[in-house]
Amino acid sequence: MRITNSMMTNSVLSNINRNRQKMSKLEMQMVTGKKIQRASENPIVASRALKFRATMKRIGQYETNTKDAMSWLEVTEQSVTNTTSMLKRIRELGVSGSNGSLTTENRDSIVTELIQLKQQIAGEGNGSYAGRFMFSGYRTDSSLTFEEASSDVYEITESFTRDDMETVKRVFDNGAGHPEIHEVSRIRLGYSGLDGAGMSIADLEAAGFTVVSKTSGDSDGYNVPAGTVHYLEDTGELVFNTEDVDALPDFSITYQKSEFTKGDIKPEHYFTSTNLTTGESYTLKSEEMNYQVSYSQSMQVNELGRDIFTKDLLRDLEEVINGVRSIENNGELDDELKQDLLGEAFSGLIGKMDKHIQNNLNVAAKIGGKINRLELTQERLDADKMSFGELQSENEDVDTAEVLIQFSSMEMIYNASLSASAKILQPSLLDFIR
Amino acid sequence: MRSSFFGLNVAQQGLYTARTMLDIVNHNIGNKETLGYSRQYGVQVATRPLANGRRGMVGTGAVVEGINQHRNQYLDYKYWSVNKDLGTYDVKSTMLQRMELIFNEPSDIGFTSHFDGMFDALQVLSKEPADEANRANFLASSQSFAEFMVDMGKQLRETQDEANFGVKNSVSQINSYAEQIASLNQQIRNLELNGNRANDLRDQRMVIVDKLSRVVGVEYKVNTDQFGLETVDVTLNGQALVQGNNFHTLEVVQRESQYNPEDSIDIYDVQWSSGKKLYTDKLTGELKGFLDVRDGNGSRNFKGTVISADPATNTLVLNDINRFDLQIPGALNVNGVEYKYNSYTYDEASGEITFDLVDSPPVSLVGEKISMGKSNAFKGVPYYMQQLNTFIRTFASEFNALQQSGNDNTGVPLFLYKGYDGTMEFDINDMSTYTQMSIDNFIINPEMMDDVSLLSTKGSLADGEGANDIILAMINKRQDPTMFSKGTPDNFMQSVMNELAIDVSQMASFKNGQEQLTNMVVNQRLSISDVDLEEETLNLLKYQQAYATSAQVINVFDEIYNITINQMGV
Repeated sequence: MRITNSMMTNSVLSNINRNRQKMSKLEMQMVTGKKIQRASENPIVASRALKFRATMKRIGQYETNTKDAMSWLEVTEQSVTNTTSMLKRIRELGVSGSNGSLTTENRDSIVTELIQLKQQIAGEGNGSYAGRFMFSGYRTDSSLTFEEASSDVYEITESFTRDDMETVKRVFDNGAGHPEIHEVSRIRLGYSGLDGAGMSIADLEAAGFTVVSKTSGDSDGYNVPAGTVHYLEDTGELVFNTEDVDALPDFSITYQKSEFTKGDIKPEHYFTSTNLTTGESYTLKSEEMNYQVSYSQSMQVNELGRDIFTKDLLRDLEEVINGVRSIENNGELDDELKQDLLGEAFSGLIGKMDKHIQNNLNVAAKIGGKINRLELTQERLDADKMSFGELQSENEDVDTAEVLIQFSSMEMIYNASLSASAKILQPSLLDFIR
Repeated sequence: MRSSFFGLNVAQQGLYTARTMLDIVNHNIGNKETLGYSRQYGVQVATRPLANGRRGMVGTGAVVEGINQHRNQYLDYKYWSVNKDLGTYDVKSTMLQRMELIFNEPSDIGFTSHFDGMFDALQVLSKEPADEANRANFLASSQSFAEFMVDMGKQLRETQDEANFGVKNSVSQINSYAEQIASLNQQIRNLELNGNRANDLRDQRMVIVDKLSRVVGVEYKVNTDQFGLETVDVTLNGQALVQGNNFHTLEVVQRESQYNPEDSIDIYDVQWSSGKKLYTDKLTGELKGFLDVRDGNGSRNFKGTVISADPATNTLVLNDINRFDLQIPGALNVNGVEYKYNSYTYDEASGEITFDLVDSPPVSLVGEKISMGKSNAFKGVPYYMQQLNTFIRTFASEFNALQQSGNDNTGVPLFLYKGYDGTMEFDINDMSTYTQMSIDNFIINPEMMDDVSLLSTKGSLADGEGANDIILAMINKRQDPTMFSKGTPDNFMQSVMNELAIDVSQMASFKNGQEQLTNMVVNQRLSISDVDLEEETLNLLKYQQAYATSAQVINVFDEIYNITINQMGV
C-alpha cells in the first residue's frame, strides 16, 4: 500500500487522539473516584448503582426512624417508671393509713399526700414528646387529662357486663335505727359529680329495671330494692340490689357531665362521647402511631394513656380520698365504726395499687421489649448499611491503585506515541538531497 | 531523408515534455492540502517514429498527450456508502447523549434525588403529620419533583425541536449541494468539449458528493452521451436530484396533524418541491438520524381496529387500541388516507374509543386497521416523552387516589395539570381522566400549596391530628410492585433510563465502528489519490534531470551544426 504524508499525519493524529481519550477517561476516574460518569458508559453498572443508592437511602431513612422511635419509647418508658414509683408510694400510704393507731391529723396528711400524688399522676399522663402529647393517641394536640377546669358538657356512653359488678361496704340504716355496714353491689362509672339530666340506661329499662336518680347522701342511696337501679350522681355509681346481680344483662349507660376539674381524664380519650358544647363526637380506636423502622417492619411507638393511666386508677384514688373525708365528717358514726371503715378504705387501697402497679410493670415490660427489638433492628440496619455500602462501592467506585497503574502505563504509551510521531513526521527527502 | 534539424526538434520536444511534467509536479505540490484533490499525472507517450530507409524507424521524441488523475471510482462508491451510515449514527449518538444528560443519572441532581427528596419529606411528615412545616416541606419537595419532571419534558421537547431543525437544515444542505453539482456538471461539460479532462473541477464535484453522502444517501451514476462526454446523475430514493445541469430541490412543509400526541406543533415533513411525495422511511444519512430521533416512537403510535363507522353522525368507533391519550384535534390514517377528528371519547369499561370526525367516514372502514402517524421502531424523543407521561400519570393517579380518599373522601388531588378547571374528577379506575396530564403541564395543586391543611394525612376526619395512615400508604407506594408493569416507580424509571443508556452506548459503538470503517476507506482513497511530497520531490528531480539533459542534447546538436556548417571544408 502506498503511504503518503497525509496518511501518516492522519494516523498519528488519530492514534494520539485515541490515547488521549483513554487518558482522559482514566483521569476522570481518578478525579471523581467513580468508574462511570454517564449511564451509557456501562448501563449495567449504572442501573446497579441506582438500585444500591435507593437501598442505601432507604436504610438511612429507616435508621432515622428507628432513632426517633427509640427516643419516643424512652420518654414513654420514663413516664411509666415515674408513675410506677408514685403508685408504690401510694401503696405505702395505704399500708400506713390502715394502721388503726393513726390520729385524724395523721390521716389528713396522708390524704393530702394522696391528693398531690393523684395530681402528679394526672400530670404524668400529659407527658409530651417534641411538643406533642404522647398518651393521647392521634389527638396529639389534646392533653390526656384536663389541664384546667372546664365547663364543657360531655355526653358519655359506657358499656358494662355483669363482671364489672363489685361488692363494696357502705354504711346505712337498713331499718335497724342506727347505721350499719352493709355489702352493696355497684358498678362504678368513669366519673363522679355527674349531671342529673341526660342519663339513660335503655338496656336495663328494657330488662324490667326501674332506674332512679339518687345521691349518696340520700338515706336510701345505697339501700336498693329488688328490680331497681340507683344512679348516684355525686359519686358516679350504679347501685343494684344484690339479688338482681345474677340476672343482670349486658348494658350501656349514657350520662352527662359538665363540671370537670383539673386532673380529670378527658372523655375523648377514654369513652365514646360527644362534647355537646363543641358538637364534636368521639369514638375509641386503637390509634396506633407507626414508624417504619425496617423494610417491611413498622412499630407502634405510642402507648395509649387509657392503658396506663386507667380510669380505675384515678377513680380508686378519688374514692379513697373522698371516702376518708366523708367517713371522718360523718357525725352519725361512732368511733369504732369509723376506725373500721377507715382501715377498710386504706387496706383496700393496697390491693388496688398492687393491681395497678402490676399493670404498669406490664406496660413497661412491653416498652422495654420494643426498645430491645429496635436495638436489634438498628444493628441489622448498621450491618446492611455496611454490606450494601461495600457492594455499592465495589460497583461504582474505582480501585485507585489499579487506575493509577493503568494511568502511568497509558502515560508511557502516550509519550512513546508522541516521540514516534515526532520522528516519523519530521524528516523529508529534501533533507537528504545534495 | 530526414530534416537537417531533426535532432534539434526532438530535443526541443524533450524540453517541452519535461517542462509540462514539472508543471504537473508543481501543481500537485501546490494542492497537497487541497480538500478532495487527487494527484495528477501526465500521460507521456513517444511521438510517431519516422521510417528511415533501411536503418529502421527513428524515434521522434516524446510528448505529453494528456493530464489524468489517480482516482478509484469503486472507493468513491464505497466511501459514500459508509459515510451515509456514519452520518446517521453520528446524529443519533449525539442526540441520544444529549437526552441521557437530561435524565442525569447516576448523579446527585438527577431524577432519583428529586424522587428521594419527596419521600424523605413524607417520612418526616409521617412522624409529625400535624406539623405545618413538615407539610410545607413535603409540598415544596413534591413541587421540585414536579418541576424537575416538567423540565425534563421541556428539554426533551427542545431535543425534538433541534432534530426538527436538523431536518430542515439537512434539506437546505441537500438543495445547495444539488445546485452546486448541477453547476459543476455544466462547467465540466463545457471544458471537456475539446476532449480534455477537467480534473480539478471533477475533484470539486466529488467533494460535494462526499458532503452530500453524509447528509443523505444518494445514488451516483455516470452516463456517457453521444459525444462521448461523461455526465453525472444523482438520484435520491430513485428520483432525480441532479440530472446533468438540471437539479430538483426538496422542501419542508409544516405537518398538518401530529404523528404522536407528544409531538411539538411545528414539525416539518419533507417532500419534493414539485409537490411529489418523498418516502422518508428509506432515507439514510444525517437526515435519517434527525428524522428517527424526532419521530421515533418505539412503534407506540396509536393503533386500533374500526368496529363501526357512521357516515350520518361522522363517528368512528375503534377497539383493540393500544392507547387513549391522544391529541385534540388530530388525524387518523387508513391506508394513506387521513381522517381528521375534532374530539374523541374513551370508554373504560368496553375499551372502545369513539372519534368525532370532520368528514363522514365510508362504512367500508369497518374492520380496517387504523393508526395515527407513523410507526417508527426507533426510541426517540416521542418514545421517552410517552414513558415519562406514563410515569407521571400513573404515579399521580396513585397519590391522588390516596389524597382524595383522605378525610372521609373529602381530600383534594395532590397533582394537577396547568389548565385543569376542576370540573373533571380524577379517577384512578378510569385512567382517561388523566390523559390531559403530561410532563408539559404537570403541577402540584396550587390550592394545596396555598393551604397546607388541604393535604390529607388521615383517612378519617374524626381521627386526631396524629393519625398518619394516608402518609404511610403514600410511603408504601414507593415499594408497590404492581404500580407499573415494570414494577415499582423506581423500577420503571430505572428501566427507562437503562433503555436509553443501552441505546446510547450501542449507538456510540456503532458510530465508532462506522468511523473506523470510514477511516479505512478514506485511507484507501488517500493511498491512491493523495499527494506524497517524497514522491513529488523525486519526480521533480527526475524531470529536472530530463530537462537538463534535453538542454545538453541541444548543445550537442548545436556543435554538430557548427561543425557541419562552419568548419567542414567550404
